Amino acid sequence: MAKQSVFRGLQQLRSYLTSLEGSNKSIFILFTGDKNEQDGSSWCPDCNVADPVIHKSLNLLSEDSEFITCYVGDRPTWKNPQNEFRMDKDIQLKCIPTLMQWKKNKVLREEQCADESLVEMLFEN
Amino acid sequence: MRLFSKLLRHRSHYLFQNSYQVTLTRPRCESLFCINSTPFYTLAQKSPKILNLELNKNSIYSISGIRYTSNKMPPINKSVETYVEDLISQNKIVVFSKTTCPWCIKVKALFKSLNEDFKTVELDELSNGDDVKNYLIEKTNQTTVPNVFIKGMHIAKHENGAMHTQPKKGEPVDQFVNELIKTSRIVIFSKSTCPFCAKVKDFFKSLNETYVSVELDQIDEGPAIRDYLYEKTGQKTVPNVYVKGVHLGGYDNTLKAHTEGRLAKIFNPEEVKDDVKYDYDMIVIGGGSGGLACSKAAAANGAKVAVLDFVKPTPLGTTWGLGGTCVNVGCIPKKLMHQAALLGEGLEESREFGWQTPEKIAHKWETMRENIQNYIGSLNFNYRVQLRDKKVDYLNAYGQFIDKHRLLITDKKGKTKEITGKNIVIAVGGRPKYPEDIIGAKENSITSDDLFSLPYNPGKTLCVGASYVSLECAGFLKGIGNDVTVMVRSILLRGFDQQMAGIIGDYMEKHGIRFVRGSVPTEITRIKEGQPGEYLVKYKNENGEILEEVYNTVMLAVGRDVCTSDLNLDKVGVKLNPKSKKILTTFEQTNIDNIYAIGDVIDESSANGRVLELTPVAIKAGQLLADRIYGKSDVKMDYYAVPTTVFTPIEYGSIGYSEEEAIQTFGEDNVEVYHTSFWPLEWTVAHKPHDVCYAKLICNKNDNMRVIGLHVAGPNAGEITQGYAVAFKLRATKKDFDMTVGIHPTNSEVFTTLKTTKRSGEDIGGAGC
Ligand SMILES: Cc1cc2nc3c(=O)[nH]c(=O)nc-3n(C[C@H](O)[C@H](O)[C@H](O)COP(=O)(O)OP(=O)(O)OC[C@H]3O[C@@H](n4cnc5c(N)ncnc54)[C@H](O)[C@@H]3O)c2cc1C
Repeated sequence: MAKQSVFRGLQQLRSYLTSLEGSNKSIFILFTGDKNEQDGSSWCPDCNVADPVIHKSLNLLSEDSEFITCYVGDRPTWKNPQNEFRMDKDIQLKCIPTLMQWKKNKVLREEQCADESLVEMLFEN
Repeated sequence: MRLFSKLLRHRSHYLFQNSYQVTLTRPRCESLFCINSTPFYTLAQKSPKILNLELNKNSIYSISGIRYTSNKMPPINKSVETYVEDLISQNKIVVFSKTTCPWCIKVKALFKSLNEDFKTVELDELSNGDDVKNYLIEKTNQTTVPNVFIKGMHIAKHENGAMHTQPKKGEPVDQFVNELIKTSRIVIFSKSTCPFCAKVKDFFKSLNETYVSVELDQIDEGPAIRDYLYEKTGQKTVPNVYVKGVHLGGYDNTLKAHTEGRLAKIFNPEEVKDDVKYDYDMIVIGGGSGGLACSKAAAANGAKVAVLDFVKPTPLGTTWGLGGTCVNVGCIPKKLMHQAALLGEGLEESREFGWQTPEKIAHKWETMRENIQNYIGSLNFNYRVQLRDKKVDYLNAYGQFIDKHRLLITDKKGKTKEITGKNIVIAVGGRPKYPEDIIGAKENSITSDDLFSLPYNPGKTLCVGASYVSLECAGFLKGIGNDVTVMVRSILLRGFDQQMAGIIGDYMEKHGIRFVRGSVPTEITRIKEGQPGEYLVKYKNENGEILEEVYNTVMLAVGRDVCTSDLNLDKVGVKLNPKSKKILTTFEQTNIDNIYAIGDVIDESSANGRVLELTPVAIKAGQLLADRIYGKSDVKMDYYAVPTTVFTPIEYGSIGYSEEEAIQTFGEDNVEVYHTSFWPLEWTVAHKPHDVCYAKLICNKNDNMRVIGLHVAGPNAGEITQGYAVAFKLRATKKDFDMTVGIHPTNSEVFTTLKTTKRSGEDIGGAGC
């Protein structure tokens, strides 16, 4: 099972990624909408559908890989066209949920993240 | 009156009661050519009774719904010529007729029956009828009436159930041909003396089908039409047959289409049904450029599709992901490595532009390799995502035929399974050839399949072969700083324009790539392990002497073999070209009705030996094929004037004929070559040579100076060439190029200002602003 971590906002994510530089690990990042505290569901309905599918497949990840969940904010924060994740030149996030292998250009977007076989394909690679 | 009342409606045809088939027309037939052909014939030859009929002027005859009025013409006062030409241009249908002529009456009745408005001119009622008649004879070469024009086009004299036609004066032949095959049910391009033309006509008559023929030996435009057909269909010979816009070919192909039921399908497209259940509507063997494009297009048309892709490891053990040659070991990595080399060159030149670029700039193979491989990895992944999105099943397994609908598939672990498909598309491409007469070739050399993912810099490299793959790899290896030798048996770039090949060779040689000509390796032995190791290459030169040299890497690029040998094609009887082992296809269909092939693996008859082994060719053919099978399309791949570019240190782009080919096809006297050398602006300040870059246009003097070949050697040749390919599609002439405004300062603009012909022998040295 991969090492799992959770971050909120770009800065946290960036500094963790920097710490991993040169480690040659496979890094997978799920960008998803913030969850509410009552029932742990997100304001983003697609994220809620994708979440269990992705977590079910986490066991496919190798020991030395990293799985990062990154919350992009509440709805108004995300919908802002100037959102930091949208503006970041390496991430250029267009939609959530987005599941990607960092630096490898392998990306699943929206309902693709809820397709078990696609998620498996990404994790098995 | 008596006669016409014998006309009975029978199905969609009009028949005479005495059962002579008239085939006036199918009522919904769009084609006017086949409409008015037959009545002449049937009446004249088979029903002499009719000739005795007396028909009164100004009377109305009503026959099974057909009404006909003959109308009296006022005398005319315009000049005869204006009068006739105005009539022809202002009326959809004009019938020059005589009131006493029964055939004239029939043709008029025919148009009436079709509810077509037409203008009748009764020559025997005109005061100057004879003048009109004489003018018509002069214009049409036809002495008899009725003399019919439809939409300005003369409908020529009739013969046994058929029509002849020809272009209007000044009408471009391509427009004429395309309009004709679009609007006519059956078109036969023919020669009046050709026995097979007669046979194919008899064949259609035996099917009770009427046809339009164009007799190429009887009209001035004959040769131009023949050339255009050659270009369009790849077929030089007559008869050249089209049915409902579908090209069938000659007599044999037409008969074959008939016996195989394809002809019937063309006539009645909806009558294809079959109830057998298969796992898939379509199975594509090979997930390369062609296979992926075809499978996605088929799925988009609603078909249930599987695509098999399996990469057999190279002798060195290299494998790769989904996407085929281009993505993994072809176009993509090679263009990126070419770019690496260009950047190095740019860094050198940058000093002339003021950059304080350090004297020593080093290249790191590993970084380039990793970044390129990462990008390829993302493409492999995205192809798989796309296939999922399009609901195409991707099977990472090797496919072989059991029968024409059944495949045995074997996965990586050796597990086998059978799957069935209604249609099978073979898109297996090719792999680099290992010559059998080089001892140690497989063990001690690499090919392009290994080079792009090689974990270490190949070092001092020998590229064996004169193929574009060999030259391109040699080019970028030199460009990133390696010591490179190219060993060739004879000419460079066989099949390409040899003048251009010469320019590339010279340029590479001047840039420090060594060429060992007239030589072939005989033995490669490893003398030192390592990354890279050391290999001793023994080779034989022109004089039969055996020489030797040590290299770190030997890369063989002596051509490619298509992957047809393991498919069990003999089990299903798919025919191959015995020499190249390529699959013989006609419009991408093999000799087996449900088996198709696309891409590098085909020898396509409509392409006349010119299927370029290129990714966009495989893609387009695959998409069009899927649209033909599952969509309602009948658009075929056009293999003529496919543009291509060789990404050697000086790039070379071309479209259409090479100079040699043009001269061979059209004759030296009929080919005009316009050419120039040019000095790219960005080369001036960089002190690069002014007389290396070169452009030429090859024109067909017999076809209005149609541009049939374009060649350019220089920076960004690919970007230059692509746009001009559209001009070829539009059949541009030299004048069109001349009338085009250039973009200054670019290299591409040279094609708008070419003045010097090769024939003139005039100097083509560097031109200024
Ligand atoms: C070094 C190099 C550079 C090139 N550069 C260019 C370029 O710049 N521009 C350009 O247009 N073209 C270029 N090409 C040519 C281009 O790559 C090919 O024309 C193109 O890939 C052909 O596509 P295809 O679909 O016919 O076959 P391929 O792309 O070769 O795909 C065939 C696939 O089928 C698989 N396969 C084979 N047999 C089986 C089987 N029995 N079962 C299952 N799978 C099977 C193969 O492993 C492969 O993945 C280059 C080629 C090379 C080698």
